[in-house]
Amino acid sequence: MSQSHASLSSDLTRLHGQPAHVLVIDDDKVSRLTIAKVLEKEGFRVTQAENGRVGFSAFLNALPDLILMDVLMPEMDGFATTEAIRNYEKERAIPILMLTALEDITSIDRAFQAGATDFITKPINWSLLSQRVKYAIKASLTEDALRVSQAQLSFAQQLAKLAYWEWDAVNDRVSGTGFAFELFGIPNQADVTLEQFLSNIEAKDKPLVQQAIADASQGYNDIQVSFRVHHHEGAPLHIDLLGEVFFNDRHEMVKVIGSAQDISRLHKAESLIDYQASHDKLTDLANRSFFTKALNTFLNEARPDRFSATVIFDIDSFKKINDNLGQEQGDELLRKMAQRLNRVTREDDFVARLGSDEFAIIIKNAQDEQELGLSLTRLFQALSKPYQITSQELFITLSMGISLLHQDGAEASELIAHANMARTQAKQDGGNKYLYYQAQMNAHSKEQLILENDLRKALERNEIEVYYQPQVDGQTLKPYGAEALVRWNHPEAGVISPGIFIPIAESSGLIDDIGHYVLKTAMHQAKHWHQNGYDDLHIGVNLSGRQFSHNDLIRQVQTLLTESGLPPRFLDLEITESLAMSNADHNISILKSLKAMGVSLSIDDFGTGYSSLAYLQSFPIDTIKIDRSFIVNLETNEGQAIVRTILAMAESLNLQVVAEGIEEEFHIAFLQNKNCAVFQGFKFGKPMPADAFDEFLRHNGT
Amino acid sequence: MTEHADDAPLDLNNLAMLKDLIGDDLKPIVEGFAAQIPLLLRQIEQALEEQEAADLILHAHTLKGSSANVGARPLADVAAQLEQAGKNQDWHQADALLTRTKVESEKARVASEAFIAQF
Repeated sequence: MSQSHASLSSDLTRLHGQPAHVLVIDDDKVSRLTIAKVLEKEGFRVTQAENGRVGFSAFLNALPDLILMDVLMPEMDGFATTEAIRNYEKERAIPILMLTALEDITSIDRAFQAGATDFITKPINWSLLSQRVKYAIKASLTEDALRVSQAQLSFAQQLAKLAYWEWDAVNDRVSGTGFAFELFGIPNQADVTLEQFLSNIEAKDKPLVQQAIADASQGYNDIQVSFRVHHHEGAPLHIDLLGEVFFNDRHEMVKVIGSAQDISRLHKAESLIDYQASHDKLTDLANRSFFTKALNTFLNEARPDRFSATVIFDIDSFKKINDNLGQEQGDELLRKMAQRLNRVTREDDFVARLGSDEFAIIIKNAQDEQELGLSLTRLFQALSKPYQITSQELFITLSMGISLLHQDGAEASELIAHANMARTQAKQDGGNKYLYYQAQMNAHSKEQLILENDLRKALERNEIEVYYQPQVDGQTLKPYGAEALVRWNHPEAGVISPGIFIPIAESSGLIDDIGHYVLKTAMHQAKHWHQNGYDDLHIGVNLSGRQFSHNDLIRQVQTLLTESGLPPRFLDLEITESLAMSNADHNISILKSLKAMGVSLSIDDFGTGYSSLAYLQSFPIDTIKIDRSFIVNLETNEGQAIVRTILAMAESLNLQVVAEGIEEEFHIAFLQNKNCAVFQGFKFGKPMPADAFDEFLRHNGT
Repeated sequence: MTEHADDAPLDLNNLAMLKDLIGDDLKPIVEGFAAQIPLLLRQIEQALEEQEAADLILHAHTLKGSSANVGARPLADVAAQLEQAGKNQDWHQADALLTRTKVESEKARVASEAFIAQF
């Protein structure tokens, strides 16, 4: 353990002078209260929650230091709550101790799968409870200390990966998870003795372990010891081992149950951190910050009589390729491209991956312009040749931009921005080309910049307005709710459509504020309808890609639900199909967290992307919205067949269907006949300001 | 640990340990336990009548947890069997266990009140 841990408070019931905060989630009042009292007496601060849903909110609001969680609870059980918490947190891994009966092996397994840190057996051994809690907090502090001092390390979850083992002292047999045997370098078989299990421990450390077990057998109930274990390959592992000892009525040790943790990474974290902070994980190339640094360094030493350039390129329509190939193959393409990039550049040149499919090169010290031009042509051609991905040849094209050192900029940021501008121009020209930066390229981007600046002020100037498009019940045609849509009332240019300003908002990051504003306004508006007696109206709000991947989305929604008082089921968050599919695994976990809060989820523009309904089944969604293009096509037999199929499949998957773009009487007749649940379209109302929507409700009220 | 602790309705060793740890705060906890028993029994009975396995599992589980918590072992044991019967959807077995649950509940409740009276 490093020095920093020694400086952590030795009294682990107190952190930074504050009592450590424990959240107890248990539906049984008696257990909950007993735990709370025992811990409070020991100096902890305790918050109680009576079920998983309340517990999840308490976790979001209070950010405790540790959670004690029951397994079986109404509303949301311990596994679901643990999953929701793990999905929510990105960096910090709060220790979650599951309370479970010792004999319930399946629960223990599931608890670890869900992301629990460890478990405490029921009935609880009261004299040990606060010790266990202290140890768990100490372990997490060790990780936190590492995380805080060496930012953006995502080892935490892996660090917390615990192996689980058990020693039957009567028959001298060790059993445990595969991972435990792996850590101890022992084949996982049925009849392993303790001696065999510990046989790979470094000779010098062995007495420590034997002493710990001997102490435990004398009645010191806990084992805690660290040691090294030899492995055939590579360096020894550093293992931290915890154990709890069980005695029979005659005070004889019968069983030890414990965990083991590989803490080797703590020991070698230093050097890894430097490397990880400067390199891209996928391709092992330098990352953006390293590239910028290298470019600035090179600017200081570049020979003024030579020619050097900053090159930035990306793959044309990469997103489409990635969607078609799947993420894994898309990653493979990027790796292949990185390898080729290393091959076709000279040793002196510096290559980097700036982001997604964006790569950069510093070409250093060409003799003259001609040599530089020649190497650029060669580079472009070499990189544009087909790539072998699994068994097929993949043809791709590139857009490349070039800025010349000194001539096009004196600083790295300027050179990168100008190379980027040239690349954007190449892309706008249709791609598959490389362009040198030219000063007039600035014109178009300046326009964008002005708009971006205006957009920055738009929120404070109240230029962003939320409109509401009515939705009606498919059978009664009475108001069902509304979809919130955003408008920008530009002081000079008039109304600017979301199609133009949302991409700018996305690329500039302004979408975070705008998205939050729309969500907040729409939720308060829906609450306003409820208060006026329309208390079953729903509100649909679109989430952009950036908002969706934003770390804080779940907390934001939770806060707004509390603040507005709108019951969660009336909030319907809409994401587009392509967004949902773009990073399916990650997105499913976010959707699950939202779902756990009781919010309803929709797939917007259904049918326009690549996905199938059957695939959507793995998403925890409630509703699909059929895109308006399908409704327009209802005039044809073919169009009718498609909509019929979608409705039938949605019904079999138990999904509600909202039809968008309803304009004609016969649309209504057709869809009513097929039991489509909700209608939206000009037939019932265009998107309108809040007061007009109030008027709409008065005329069409429930 | 004394011989008869395992079948005593309330493990006084466990309660003594708790009392060492939290003192007089133990009183409202045991009171809460005693007060909760009749409610849980009603819910278990209702789950049996309606043959709602999920409810039976939940309430038997709660009874098991809170009685194990204060050291009412015999009640915790029978509640555990009841929970298992719920998981197996063995209604015959569950019905048979109900009487024992009631008996052990009553014993635990009486013992709890005796314990409270000593405070």
